[in-house]
Amino acid sequence: MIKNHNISFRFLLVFLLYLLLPVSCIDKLDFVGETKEGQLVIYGLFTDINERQVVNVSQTTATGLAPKGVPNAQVSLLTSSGGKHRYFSIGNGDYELYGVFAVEGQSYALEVVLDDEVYLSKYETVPTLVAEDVLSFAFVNEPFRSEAPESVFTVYSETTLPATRDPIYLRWAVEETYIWPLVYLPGTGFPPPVPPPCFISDVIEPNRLNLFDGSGTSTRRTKLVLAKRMVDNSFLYPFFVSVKQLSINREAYEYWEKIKIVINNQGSLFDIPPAPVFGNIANVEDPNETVLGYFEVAKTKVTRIYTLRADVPFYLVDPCQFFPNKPDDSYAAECKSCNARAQGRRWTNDAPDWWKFD
Amino acid sequence: MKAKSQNIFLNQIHKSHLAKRNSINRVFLALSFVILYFSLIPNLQAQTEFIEVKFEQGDLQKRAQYFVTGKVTQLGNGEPLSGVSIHIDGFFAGNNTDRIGQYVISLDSGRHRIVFRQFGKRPVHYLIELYGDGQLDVGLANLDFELEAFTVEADEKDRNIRSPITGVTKMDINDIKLVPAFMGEPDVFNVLQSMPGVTSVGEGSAGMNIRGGQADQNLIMMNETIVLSNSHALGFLSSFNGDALQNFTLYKGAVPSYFGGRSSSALNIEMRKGDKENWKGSVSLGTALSKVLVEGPIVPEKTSMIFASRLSNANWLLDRAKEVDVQNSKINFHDIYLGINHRFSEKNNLDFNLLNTGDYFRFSNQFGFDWNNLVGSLTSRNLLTDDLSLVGMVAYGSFNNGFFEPSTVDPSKIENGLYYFQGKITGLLTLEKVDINFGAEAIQYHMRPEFLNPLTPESGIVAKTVQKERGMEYAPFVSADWNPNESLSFSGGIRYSNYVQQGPDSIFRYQEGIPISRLTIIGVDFVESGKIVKYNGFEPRFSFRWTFDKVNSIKGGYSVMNQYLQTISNATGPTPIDLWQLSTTYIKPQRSHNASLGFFRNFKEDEWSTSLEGFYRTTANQLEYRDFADLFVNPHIETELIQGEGLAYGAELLIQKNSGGITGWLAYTFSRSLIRTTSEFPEIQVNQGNWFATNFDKPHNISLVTNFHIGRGRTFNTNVNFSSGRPVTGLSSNYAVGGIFVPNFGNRNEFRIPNYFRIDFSYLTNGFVRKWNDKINFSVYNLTGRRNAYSVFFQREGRTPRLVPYQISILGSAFPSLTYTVAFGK
Repeated sequence: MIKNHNISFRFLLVFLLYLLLPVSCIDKLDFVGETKEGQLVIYGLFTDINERQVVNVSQTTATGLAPKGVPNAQVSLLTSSGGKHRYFSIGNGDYELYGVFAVEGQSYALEVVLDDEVYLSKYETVPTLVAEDVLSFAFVNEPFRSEAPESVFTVYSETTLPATRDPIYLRWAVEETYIWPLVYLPGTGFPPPVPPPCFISDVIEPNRLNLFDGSGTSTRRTKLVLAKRMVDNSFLYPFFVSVKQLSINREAYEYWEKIKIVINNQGSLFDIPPAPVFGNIANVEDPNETVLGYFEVAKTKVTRIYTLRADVPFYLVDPCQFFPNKPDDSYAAECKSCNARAQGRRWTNDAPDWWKFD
Repeated sequence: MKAKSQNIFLNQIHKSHLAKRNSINRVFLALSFVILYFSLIPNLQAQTEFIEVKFEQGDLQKRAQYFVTGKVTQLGNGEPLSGVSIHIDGFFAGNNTDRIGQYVISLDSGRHRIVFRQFGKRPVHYLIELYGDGQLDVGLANLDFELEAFTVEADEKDRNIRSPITGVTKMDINDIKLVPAFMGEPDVFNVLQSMPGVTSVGEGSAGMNIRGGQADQNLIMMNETIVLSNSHALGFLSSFNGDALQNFTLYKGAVPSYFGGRSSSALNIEMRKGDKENWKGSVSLGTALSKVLVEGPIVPEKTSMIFASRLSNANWLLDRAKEVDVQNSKINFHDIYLGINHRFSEKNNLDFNLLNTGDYFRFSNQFGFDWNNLVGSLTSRNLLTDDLSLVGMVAYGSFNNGFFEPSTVDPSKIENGLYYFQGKITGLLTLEKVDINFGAEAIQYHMRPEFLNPLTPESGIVAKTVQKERGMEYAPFVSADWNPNESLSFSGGIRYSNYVQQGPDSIFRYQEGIPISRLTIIGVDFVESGKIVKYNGFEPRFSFRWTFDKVNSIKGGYSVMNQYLQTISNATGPTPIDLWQLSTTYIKPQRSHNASLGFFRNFKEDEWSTSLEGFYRTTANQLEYRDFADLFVNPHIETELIQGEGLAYGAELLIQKNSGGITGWLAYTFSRSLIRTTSEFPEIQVNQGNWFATNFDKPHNISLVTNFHIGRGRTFNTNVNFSSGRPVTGLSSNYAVGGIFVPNFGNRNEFRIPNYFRIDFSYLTNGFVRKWNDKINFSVYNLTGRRNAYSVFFQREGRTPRLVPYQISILGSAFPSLTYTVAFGK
């Protein structure tokens, strides 16, 4: 028995050695690798509706930073018939083209000239089919950003595809626009002007890619979740959701599928390993130069839906409610400035022409 | 145990008890502080029984030397034991039993001490008075740790010195049980991953990487029958029930010529035969799985059976997870093993083995898998003459995969699989100093068509079918083991490997001068039947052993191996549902050259075994995947692949303590596994055609397994693992397209995840019911709850453009399990 006790004591000593070995938990990592700066990124979308056609030209920067806009490029739209339309730089690498829009069945390419280098996309043909979207929304309590239930606003689309066996590839971009009245503070003028409201716009869930491949299915009517966001005081006033359905060609669909794989990669056992995604734009003189981005053409359909405060089943607090005796400087900045409220989102004081509700 | 004689008589047997001296453990090497505790407990006394036997030849003329021959079998079921070492007068002269358990030794007339030893078996000691030829059949029993002895002696302790082939790992189920494992279940793969040279991509990935090889480069067999699907629970557990398992042998250096078809290693798992004398069994209830075992004589002394089955019950654990997706997930698996052995005579046996496994896994409503596997074999073992034996085996295997997406829109399911017929005949001719193996093997593979089907009636998915290949692999082989003297041993062989891809199949034609892709298809040729393409090649195998000073040996080996069947996956690591793909016109067979060299030394009368081995392997036509490979339901899968050269090299150090109150081992492996693609087209080269690390390249691996034998059947076991983080693909920059921030990934496998570290422990003890033969296994996997990274992903932090790397852990907490087993019968 004595011997057994001695052994047990030694076992305990040995076991304690294990406990001294390092134990740690790591969740967030920091990979500092070789950053490739200066890679050219060109993205352009050319649609068939009479709207502002936009191209963005930028360069990659160090990992973790936003890409740097390239404002001094010459950007042109090429048509298959030999036409050429010049985009105009509006700064920050954005280029605009007005009054020109795509015609279904026609092909277009993008040309970007930068520092004597010519970058040219492949000619892309505008699809002829488009689907019908019927939008709806719901406010529910469910896990969203965390495992705990949260107040979530969800946008759905009941989409009907054309009754044809021709392939159709769809992508949806969902944007919100809400009105934000600034607090009316008497005494800041005579007569005190009513501050114009802010119309603030942003993409909902920018990293959600809504794609549908209508080529391998007989489904012609389907209900899709297009976007989700947290419910906050943006819903105090009319809140519009604009859904832009883009009917794209197969190559563009495959490009976005790869982008979706890359941005949705969760590192799981079953994830497809990530890789760089290359598009349809290349340097004419040096095909080996890496050019990121894509030029896509799309047949487009825009559908909108809106919510009012009465639709929201959750209690919302108005941070900018006016109280006569409340000092002016005690109101939050977002109550006095559109810029402060927008926090980097797009905003304007002019109501969009479609801003109509009951 | 019984001894038989021909013209001799069996003398009286009486037992004598000889004592061993106590020995105090000392610090062996100052490599690591952890090894110190091996010497903390002194060995206590063990007792040795000698059985006295006398062989005489009556009136015949007396000779200077006589032969002793016989067969060594497993006590209880009569199964022949190969590789049992025969020690004569305290020395090992290089004699081992052959593959059917037979041996022949020539000895001077007179008195000799003969000991039969094998790892995991209780040694049998004889005192023989040899004055005539004799036959001595021996039965070895498994080591019984239930005895109230503090000293546990691992047999065949000198095997690492004496065995002729380098890079062989062999272990008995009793040792497997002592390594703590996930769900507390004794598991071959778990044990192997604590041995030098064996790793995996990470927790939850199926398959093992042996000496820098891919998981599909290992030939995994059950009783020499190929088993393609061999893991449960996404790879946490092997499909081989420890209760029905006898032992395993892993050839990771020079693979003998009677094994082939894979380019890295061969693992043969021997299943137990049922007891021929008594009915017995056990029932286990565990927190994660339950199991049952029944074995016994159908016809006493003639026919026995063994039936073992396991069934998972782990879903309640998922229900307690914090994450909703995990709560909504399901995991079920089962396996069934049936073995029937019939002994026609002492020289003729027939075995029937059947293994059925099934798995179902669903991750929330996002995706799921189910797969099942059936392997059946019939093996005839016949001793034709005293020197010649023949083993014939026919087998059938079937493997079905399902991958489903139960999404709200167009739920679908993809199904594929294969079935195969395997036949093998092996002869063994035993001469005085040479053993010759010869035979042939053939495998006919039929890949099942791949189906894409709607999962529900409402789904709009259009059904699609892609026909798959079929092919035959066949190879004659011969090998010889030659022991010219006690110090030298040579083993050489050759295998002539052949493969024919057979019709029907569609062979696509592609534009020349540009990479093949779906866009460069210019036509298709349909071959109804007959040969489509043929590959073949000689596979020389060679190994040697040189032993000096009784305790040192140097061993080396070289082998060439071809592989015609490989898995294809575009997942991060190997998964249980990876597609099996035969070689085709465009997918060339892999061919590897393997070389290894090792130094082995034992200390303190084999109480300590040590080895240092190096290996080097090159592989031609190793498969790699193009970016975003589309593998499912793809009739021209070659467009998604690229082939290249593989290179693996490394060194392994093993320090093993074989006996005493504490046993176990410390293993360190340095291993590199690299690949480079060799396409003539730069645009599809991976990493510009430069060498890069494979997914499973983990240069440093350390594992420490310790078994504390407390006595009264109790053992406390620990397993400590450390390995370098595996390579992953990381960001080189990020950019935006259409308002979406996109990570721009750099070269493949350029970065590494953090290092891996894990401690497991188990406590095995007798149960609490005095009159029952019951046992309790309490184990904790990942004791410290360390969240070991499996891989990384990148995500935006809020609205900022910064993409932040996060790690994902497959098992981020301690996983305790408790199993209660009641055995019945004797």
